[in-house]
Amino acid sequence: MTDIRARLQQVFREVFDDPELEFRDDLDANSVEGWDSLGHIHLIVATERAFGIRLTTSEIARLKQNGETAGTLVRLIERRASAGAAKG
Amino acid sequence: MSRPEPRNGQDRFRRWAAVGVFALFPWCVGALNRALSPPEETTEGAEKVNLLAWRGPVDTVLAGDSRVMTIRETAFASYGWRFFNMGLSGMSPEDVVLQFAYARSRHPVRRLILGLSFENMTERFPYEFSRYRKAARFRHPAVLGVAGWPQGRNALKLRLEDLYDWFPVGRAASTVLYLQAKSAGQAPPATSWLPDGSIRYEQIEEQIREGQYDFAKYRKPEIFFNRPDFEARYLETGSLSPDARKLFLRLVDQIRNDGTTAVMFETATTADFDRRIEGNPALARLRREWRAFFRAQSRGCVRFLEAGEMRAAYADADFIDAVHYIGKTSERVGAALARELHELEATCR
Amino acid sequence: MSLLHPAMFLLLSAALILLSLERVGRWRGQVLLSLSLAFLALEYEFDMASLGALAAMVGVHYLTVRCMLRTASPSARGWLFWLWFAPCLGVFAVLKHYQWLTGDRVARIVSPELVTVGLSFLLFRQIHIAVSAMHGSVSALPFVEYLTYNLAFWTFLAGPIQRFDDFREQFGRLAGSASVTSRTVIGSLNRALLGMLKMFVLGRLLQRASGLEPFLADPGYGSLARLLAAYPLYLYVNFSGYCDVMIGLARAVGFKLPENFSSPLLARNPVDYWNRFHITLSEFFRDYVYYPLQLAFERRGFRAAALPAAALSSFALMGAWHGNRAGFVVFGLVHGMGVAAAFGWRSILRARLGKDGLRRYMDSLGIRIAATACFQLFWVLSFLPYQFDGEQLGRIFATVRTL
Repeated sequence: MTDIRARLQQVFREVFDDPELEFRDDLDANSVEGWDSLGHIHLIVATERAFGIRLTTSEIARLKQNGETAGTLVRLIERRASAGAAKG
Repeated sequence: MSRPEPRNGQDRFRRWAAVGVFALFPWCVGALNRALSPPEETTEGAEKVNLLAWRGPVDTVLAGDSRVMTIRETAFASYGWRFFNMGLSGMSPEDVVLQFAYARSRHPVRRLILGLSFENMTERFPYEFSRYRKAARFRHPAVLGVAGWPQGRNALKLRLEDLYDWFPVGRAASTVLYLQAKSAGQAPPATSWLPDGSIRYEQIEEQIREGQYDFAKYRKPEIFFNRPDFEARYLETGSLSPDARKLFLRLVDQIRNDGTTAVMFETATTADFDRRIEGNPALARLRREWRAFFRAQSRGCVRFLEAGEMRAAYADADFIDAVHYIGKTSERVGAALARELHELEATCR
Repeated sequence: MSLLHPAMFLLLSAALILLSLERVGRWRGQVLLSLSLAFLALEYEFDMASLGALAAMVGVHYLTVRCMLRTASPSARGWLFWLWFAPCLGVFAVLKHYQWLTGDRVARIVSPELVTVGLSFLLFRQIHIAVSAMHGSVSALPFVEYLTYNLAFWTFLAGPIQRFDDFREQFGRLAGSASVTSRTVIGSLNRALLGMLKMFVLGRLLQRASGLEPFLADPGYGSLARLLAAYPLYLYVNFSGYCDVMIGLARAVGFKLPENFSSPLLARNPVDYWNRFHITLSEFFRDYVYYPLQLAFERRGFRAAALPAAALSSFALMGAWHGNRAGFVVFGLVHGMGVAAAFGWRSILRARLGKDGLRRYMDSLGIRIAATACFQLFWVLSFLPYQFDGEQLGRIFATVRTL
């Protein structure tokens, strides 16, 4: 599991209070108990703190749409990471 | 992009059959509604227009709002005149002008009595739009030209409204209720108009006879100033409506050009209602201005009568609310107006 | 012009036929746009002033977004957004007669009687594109797509509020002549026809049954129940019927619109309700008001206040969007409080029952029925300020006291 995914697993376990949660890219609001509107905000705040990033309104909204999964979050963080590395 | 799968004949037929059913469905419903359902909103305007057609040649017309609706033909017939009461509820100035214009376009009208209510001119157009624009014959181009109703684009809108009347899809709900009422054996509602166009308030008269009519409740002036913001509403511009002024000036010009004899009269109210207006300095000032405007039109064969000049005809006891009257008052008002008209016609030419 | 008008039916039928023709092929997008412009002309009754105002709204927005797309600097894009949004909101408030916001004098000076049908929903689509452009989520804005997104007849009047990404995907499919099976066409048109019956028969019957006069004329528990329930049911049936017509029609030609309703009468609490009723609207306010507000509080460590503050603010705003009377804001606040209370109750249950206990509680049929019944009562009562002004409410309460 990549570093991003490992850290996200920790975030998910803390936010959704499930120490046995196994992070997968296809996790979504239907498969994770507690991932409702409130849970989504707590997830965003915890992710921002864990990775030192700040997500935009559009990105947060996109993550909650039907069909979007934890993998979307991973790709978002990867993009931010590579954009940060490109800036030097 | 890959080419789509070719559709087989059966699939194609089913698709287009479904499209055809969808496209035809509203027209079938509309036709069914038209065939089964009575008109959902027969306006007073449409009813009056039909009555006028049945009346035959009319030479004396009374136009105005609901405050003139109880005036009957009796006094006018005594001078050999053929009278019709065109009063309708809630008339705006443009409606009043159109009433007369329509009557003139259809009948050899030589005399006009115009009932005028002060409150109808104190804001832009009291009802913001006439509620009678849909009355079929009021849309005659010559008639539209009189009141300055815009043509062109509005004419197109009116044609589109005609189409709606032909295919009233939206009346499906009223069709359901109509079928329900018919199957339960209910009779359609009766009309209250008399052949001369005046009205009998039969239910109210019955209540009065049985001592059940609550005069105190219905005569309260507040009913006619029934919005909490009435002063803001009536004093919105703080002046008489300039459009209504123009309209009446144009009407009076036309009356003079046509050689019609006209009596315009201020509709009367109960003493309480009158005090309500006098008690408000702005309304009182506007009413004085309004009276002065119409007095200025009084010359030649046009005469304006203020409410005070016909005071003797009104009895407070005949008022069923602050502005509407029945019984002997209606007869006396009709007689007074007929007399004024007769004298004016004899002296003005 | 009403949707009931034969000219509208002609247009919807023409749209269905033209967009179903194989020959139209890759021109479907342009055909959809042309039909939408014709629809607008009819809807606005050829009023040039109103159509001009609409064109100005769209034109100004398009230019603003194009400028944003050419600007690399996030702060410059932010400035452009606010330079557009603030005046736009002011114009909207004037056109929609929010006199408590704009004042009487402005309303009198700048208050032509323009047709404003569909502008509330147009504003949402414009905000969505502008925010996305501000955040760099939109890279290209082809004019035909942009115009069709804003003016498409099947979403113009009252939604559903579709996101631009989703629209572009569907628009591409439409223009790409993707085939629609007969089964889909039949199912979709069946839905549209049922939607018409809902709107034009059931909805109208419910509308006739609603209103104050029948209750005041004949006060009783039966007429009280009708007073409370008829209007909310009418709103639901009428609006969901409209959505069925538009979603069904679009689906029949291969264009998928988002769903707006999901059995809202089965909702067990306000949170559940707003995930089932006018879904695209609640998602819009969630994404553009609720989330930003809640995040703002949470990021600054005010976790306890975050949810109530965000819920009350976003629902009050949503209420105000419905109309210019105070009653609409009260309606919004009531639902905001309901949402906050529902989340709070869930937290209490979670703390008391644990995760498994909470799951059993949520799965219990008896509790679900009771919760749904309680919510139905909350729902009909919440529509009282929506439907009636202060004076009418006073008369209702006075009459209820006599029962």
